[in-house]
Amino acid sequence: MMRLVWVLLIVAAVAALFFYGMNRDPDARDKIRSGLVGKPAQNFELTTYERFQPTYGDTFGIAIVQEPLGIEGVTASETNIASATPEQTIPIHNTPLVLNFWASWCGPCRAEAPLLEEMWGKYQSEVLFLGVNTQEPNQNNANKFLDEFNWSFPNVVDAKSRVGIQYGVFGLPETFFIKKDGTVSFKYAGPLTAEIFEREVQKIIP
Amino acid sequence: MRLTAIYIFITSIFTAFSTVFASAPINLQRLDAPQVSQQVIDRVLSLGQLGTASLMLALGIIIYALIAGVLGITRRNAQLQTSARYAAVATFLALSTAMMCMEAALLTDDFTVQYVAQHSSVPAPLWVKVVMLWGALEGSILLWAWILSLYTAILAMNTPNHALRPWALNIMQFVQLFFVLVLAFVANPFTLNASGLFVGPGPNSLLQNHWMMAIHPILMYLGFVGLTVPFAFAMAALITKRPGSEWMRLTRRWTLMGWGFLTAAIIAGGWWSYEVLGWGGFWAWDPVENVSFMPWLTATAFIHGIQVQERRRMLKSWNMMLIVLTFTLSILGTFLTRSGVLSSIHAFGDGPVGIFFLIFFLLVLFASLGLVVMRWDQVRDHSELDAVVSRESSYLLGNVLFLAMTFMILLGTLFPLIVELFSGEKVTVGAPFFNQMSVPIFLAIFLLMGIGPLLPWRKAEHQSVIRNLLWMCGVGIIAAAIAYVLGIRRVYPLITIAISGYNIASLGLLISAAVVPRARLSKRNSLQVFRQYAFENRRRFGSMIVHLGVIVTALGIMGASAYRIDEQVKVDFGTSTQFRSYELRAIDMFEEQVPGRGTVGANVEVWQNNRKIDTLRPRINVFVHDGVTQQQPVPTADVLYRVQHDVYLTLSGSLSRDQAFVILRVVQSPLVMWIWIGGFIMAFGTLYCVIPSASERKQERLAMQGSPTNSGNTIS
Repeated sequence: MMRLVWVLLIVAAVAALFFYGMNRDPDARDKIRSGLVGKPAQNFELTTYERFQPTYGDTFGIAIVQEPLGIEGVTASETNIASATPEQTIPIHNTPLVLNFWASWCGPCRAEAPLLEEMWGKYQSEVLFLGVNTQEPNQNNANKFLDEFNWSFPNVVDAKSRVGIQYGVFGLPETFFIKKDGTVSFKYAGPLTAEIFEREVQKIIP
Repeated sequence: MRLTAIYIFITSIFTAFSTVFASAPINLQRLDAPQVSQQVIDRVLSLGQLGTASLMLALGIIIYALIAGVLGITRRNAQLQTSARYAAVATFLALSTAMMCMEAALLTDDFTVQYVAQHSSVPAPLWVKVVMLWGALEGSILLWAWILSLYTAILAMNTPNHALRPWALNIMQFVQLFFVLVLAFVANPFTLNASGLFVGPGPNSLLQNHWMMAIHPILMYLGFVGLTVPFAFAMAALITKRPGSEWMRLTRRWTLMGWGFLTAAIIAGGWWSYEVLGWGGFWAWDPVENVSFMPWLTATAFIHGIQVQERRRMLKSWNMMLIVLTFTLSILGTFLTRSGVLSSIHAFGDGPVGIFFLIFFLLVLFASLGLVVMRWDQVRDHSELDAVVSRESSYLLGNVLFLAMTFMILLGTLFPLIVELFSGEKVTVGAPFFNQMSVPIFLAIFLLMGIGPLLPWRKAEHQSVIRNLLWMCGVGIIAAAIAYVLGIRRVYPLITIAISGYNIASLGLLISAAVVPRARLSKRNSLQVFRQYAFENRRRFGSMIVHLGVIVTALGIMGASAYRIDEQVKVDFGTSTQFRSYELRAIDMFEEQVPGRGTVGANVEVWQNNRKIDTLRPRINVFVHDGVTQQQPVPTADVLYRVQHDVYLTLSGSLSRDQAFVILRVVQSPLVMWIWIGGFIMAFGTLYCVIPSASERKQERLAMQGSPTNSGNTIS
């Protein structure tokens, strides 16, 4: 019987150590932040959905003018939204940008869709919105999604999901708030609320 | 007939029960999320639900098998026991269905299954989608459970009727119960993606980069599960108070196979790390590597310990402890890598399963150690060592060293946690500690490996021992002297080379000791005798092959770690640079576009003595758009494998289209290829041991037919 007590003591000691280990604050152990915040947004150019082509051109994207600083890194100087028609009424060069990734199969994207249209109505003179459809198995559903919510800001197709990957998108919806100089100010994963949107959009309006 | 009917009846009750059970949460989700499109709901009713249902079915069958198994034993009811055995096959079928559901979901990009949404993506290549099944936490547990059910089914149908079998099957089912419970309730890979989130665009790019990652986890689980079998039989032996040697004889082949797979898995992991991580190394003493290595060490000790027990009826309690340690360490490793207790470069992250693995680990540790101490009087050794110089004493010493190594690694791995518990400070234990501690222990084991098999059991004649030792040391010294002349001056490499020579001599002596007297007696030529010896004494000869693999691997590790050259050079395209005996000519840069990523790289020709040897294409997987280089590139090495050393090229810094030069990191690792070759030899040697010789097969056939043989123990 004495031996069993010893076994119990050993097991209890091991248990104490690991339960302690499990209950440490995981954030303190290794803090992980979004790698993109504070860094330049990444360039891309994608095909615009047909319905936006008359207003925004066939393709749409970000082209940040970069100044190479030797071999080690690059910095961004200004955003430059490419490929729009010249008679554009909305400022699309050198403007802050709200970049939203979505897909038709994603429930929360539906949840936040009306909010985005509402905010676009409110801020379109100061901030450009761009929707990127990504990880979409079926484009018919994406078009139905656009019919349903009747977005008026431009949307592009990330057909091979490459841009989503480039931006490290790990869930849908995901929204990037990008400043005029091209740096990412904030990234939000999940459906936006009006409160968060207002708070973050103020930070990128110059 | 009646039995089958009862079985089918009970299974169908469980099916009905589990289908209702499985569909309940899905109905709830449908009510909660009316905005989810019809397309999603159509899919919800297919693969995810079928997968969960098959998990529930498996769970039901396992519970039934456990009840039937235990009742069958306590009531001495053979029919119930048989039913429990068939249930093991049914479990395997149910889990196979779950595996197929997951593969189907991955291959059809069914993002309604959360696992697929989180870990796969539309543009991922086909093979990545296939292997993604075990590329992340939930799927890897599913694979583990599936392999476990496969082994249990084989055991249930193939083990001869033996007093240990019912309990051993119950233990296997109990382990299986844990895994399936975790799958069903904690880490269900078939959880539906109601949120729309897909976390992670496809699999980790580091894992995608190499095919080795497709087989490494499978080998690992085959190894761990293989070593569960001797554990189950050991526990059965303790429960049934038959703590003799039957349990290990019955499972010897499983033990060897488990060991072989684990060896191959560790070597494959090293190779992957070498090719993919970009620093040209193969072992970093990372916690995840350590926890896979510890069960290997104790399993190696176990394999040697059971030979002593078989011959000398010694080390009974020792072997029990070793198999308990091996199994609990494999569970501990799973817990440590999946709970986020330790910081590691390749942990699975803070999953919810950690706490369950911890509880299971503690339960198994308590139950198995408790069983061992309760039966202590029976497993205690009664015979003692006859002499200090004998095969059993050398094996025992070797085992002590293996254990010392295990505890050193365990301490080093857990030390940061222990320190933080008592002082709150954060410390890390790095490679220097492990290297300093392990190299001397390894060299000591390496020394024993040479002399041990040459010593006779019980008591060695001093004269023959000294004669053998003189031969071996002679060869060792000559080998070291040659190495010294060739320019090797450092102490540990010289010692390693000397001991390798000594071990080669030992293998030669072993073979000649076996072949020469036989050839003399039979008057046949020694090659024929050798062939006959090698074919008939498969275990003995197979162990020699494994030991040869160990020598080869040891030399590889020595060369690659002591004489590694790591340099950075800048080369303009169109020109060349000298690196050691090679001329590296940077030809041009190339670009590739594949779905999901873009690649830039450099074509670098490797020349030696004005002869072109190879063109290497080190590259950076990077996202390129309109020729503008993007952030966070993944450098990918290209390696020239050569017998004497590898030339390993990675790109340092960035590479863009108008760049006129390239910065290369060049690593020359001598003999590194021999680590993989040695691993292959070890795996082959294990296989050689496992395949029965003609005479063994005959005996087994007789045993299966129930004919009396000289002992029932020949089944290995």
